[in-house]
Amino acid sequence: MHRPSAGATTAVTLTCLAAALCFGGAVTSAGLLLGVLPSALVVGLLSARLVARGRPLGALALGAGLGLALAEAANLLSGDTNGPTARSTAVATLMTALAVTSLSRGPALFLLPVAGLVSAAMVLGAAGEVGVPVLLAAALATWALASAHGERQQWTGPRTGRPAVTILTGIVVAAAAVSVLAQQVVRDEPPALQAVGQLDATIVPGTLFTLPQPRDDSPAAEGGPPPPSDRHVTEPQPGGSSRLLNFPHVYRPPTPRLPR
Amino acid sequence: VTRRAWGLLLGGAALLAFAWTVSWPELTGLGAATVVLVLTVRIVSGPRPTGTVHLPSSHLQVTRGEPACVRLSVQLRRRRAFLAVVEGDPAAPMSTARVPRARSAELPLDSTRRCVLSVGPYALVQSDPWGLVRRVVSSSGGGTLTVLPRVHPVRRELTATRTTGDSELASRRYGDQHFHALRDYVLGDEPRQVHWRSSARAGHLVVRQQVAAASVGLVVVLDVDQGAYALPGRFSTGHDEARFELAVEIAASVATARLGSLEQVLLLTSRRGDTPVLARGSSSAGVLRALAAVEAVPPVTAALEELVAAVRRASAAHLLFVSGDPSHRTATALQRLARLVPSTVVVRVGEPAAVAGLRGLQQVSVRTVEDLT
Repeated sequence: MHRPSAGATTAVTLTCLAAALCFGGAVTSAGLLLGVLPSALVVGLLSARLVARGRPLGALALGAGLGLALAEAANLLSGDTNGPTARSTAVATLMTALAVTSLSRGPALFLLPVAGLVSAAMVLGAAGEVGVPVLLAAALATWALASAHGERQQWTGPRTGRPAVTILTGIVVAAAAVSVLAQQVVRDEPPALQAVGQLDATIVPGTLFTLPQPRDDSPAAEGGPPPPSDRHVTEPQPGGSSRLLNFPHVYRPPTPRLPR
Repeated sequence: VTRRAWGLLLGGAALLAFAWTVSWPELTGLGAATVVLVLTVRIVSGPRPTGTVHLPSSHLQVTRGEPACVRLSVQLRRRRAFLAVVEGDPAAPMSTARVPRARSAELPLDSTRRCVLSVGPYALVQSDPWGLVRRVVSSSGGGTLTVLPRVHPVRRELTATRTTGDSELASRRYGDQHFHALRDYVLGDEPRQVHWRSSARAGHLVVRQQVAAASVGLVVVLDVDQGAYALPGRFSTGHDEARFELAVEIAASVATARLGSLEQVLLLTSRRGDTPVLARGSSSAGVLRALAAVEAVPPVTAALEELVAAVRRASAAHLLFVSGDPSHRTATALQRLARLVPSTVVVRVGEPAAVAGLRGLQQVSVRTVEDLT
């Protein structure tokens, strides 16, 4: 069982925080800044301390338990007007604990929880809205993987490839940005919805989270009717179409009155 | 290309395909970043480099506490990216050093503990900072590292000077007999030792005083019983490693100093079945190498009484017993050794406690190495 150093766990925790910024498309800024990010940071730091002492299972249990407690607190504080803050907090804390704990098994395993964090944000309604946090997460993940792998090499002097890490991180981020923009241009389809009826059209991520939109040459942009919004809010069904809607603290949009 | 690279490539491609299908650009970015990272690293690594790495000396010796490193000669036809010299398995190296522009690479060695251990094997490896590409360019066999005990100057005379009583005792020993002097007959002397011609001249019985030829100048016996170096405290368990280390250094220092005066030195330890080491001339390498591998053993493994035969065969002039607080069993065996070698001195290392069985033996207390000077 490997005991990762403070540098590696810090890099992974920062990567998870960057990935957790993706929840900015699903919850309000207040929910993100007061619920998701602080919870992930606290769990990441505490898990890192336990993993450094050779107790990865304890770190995982702490992440799960503390994550649920913080999610419940976020649920009580955020109420119904900040989006799925409680679920976002629970997922962010659990994935952060998983990422830090996985460093004791293999240097590259933390990438799975990071991808899980971004996927969870997409599922909860942030799809197509938070490009910059993903680029940041990709850059930090590249740096964290180099840090975790270099630590296992047990270098006795200066390492090789330090400039390569910087240059290749830039290439990787550029490739990710190009692919994000290319998808918006080539495949001009709205993001698929996984949790129907849980989106709040009033929640919009900050401008720092969005990449510049590619130029739109469609006829609608030349004086035609306004283009449809990126946010595809599904009309909620009475009673909800997801099992999550039965959870008492989940945000429920007002039920429309059906015409007689 | 490592398994990690294949995993990242396949995982990234799957993520890319899934995200493209559901139109999630964020996951598309992550997948594309992963795939691009693996491909770029493979391209930057270039073709397989050629070169050799060689360990010039397979037997390395260093004194404990001194900085030490193993120097490997490296020859490269052409420099490539991400080249390094690793010790051990290239997948999980014990240490890694970059390949300098000079033709030799240095890997530091741990000389903080006295030991004999194997080092290496070494390999010239091309490995990127993410562990995605790993190529073993050349490999070299390992060697043996011997961390010798420190040797301090010994100015203090630790061995006892011989007295007339000692020589009288020596005349009754077995072994090679050599004439030493004539002395008056005392009750108990062998009648065969009476020198009749001198007795007639003196008017009373005179016997030949004989001594056994000392084939070995000094026998150094190191007590390796853990109980002799117990930690202070009534209920403490384990032994004081620093105190045992001091005992080893004292044995090494005394043996080296005696070899400097062209004596033969026999080194023995109280470990059961241990092989005696005899050093002669001015070279103390054999003794120091033997002491490099000495470890404190549990009391059940120590048997000083087994050394009686070896000490008798050695016919030594002096015996130096280095210990901390020897056990009662050890003290009893030491009394038997002292009858074989009258010039026996017990060197008590550290803070000595009272040991009843050592009564009658000459004892010297050495708390620190400064006491040797």
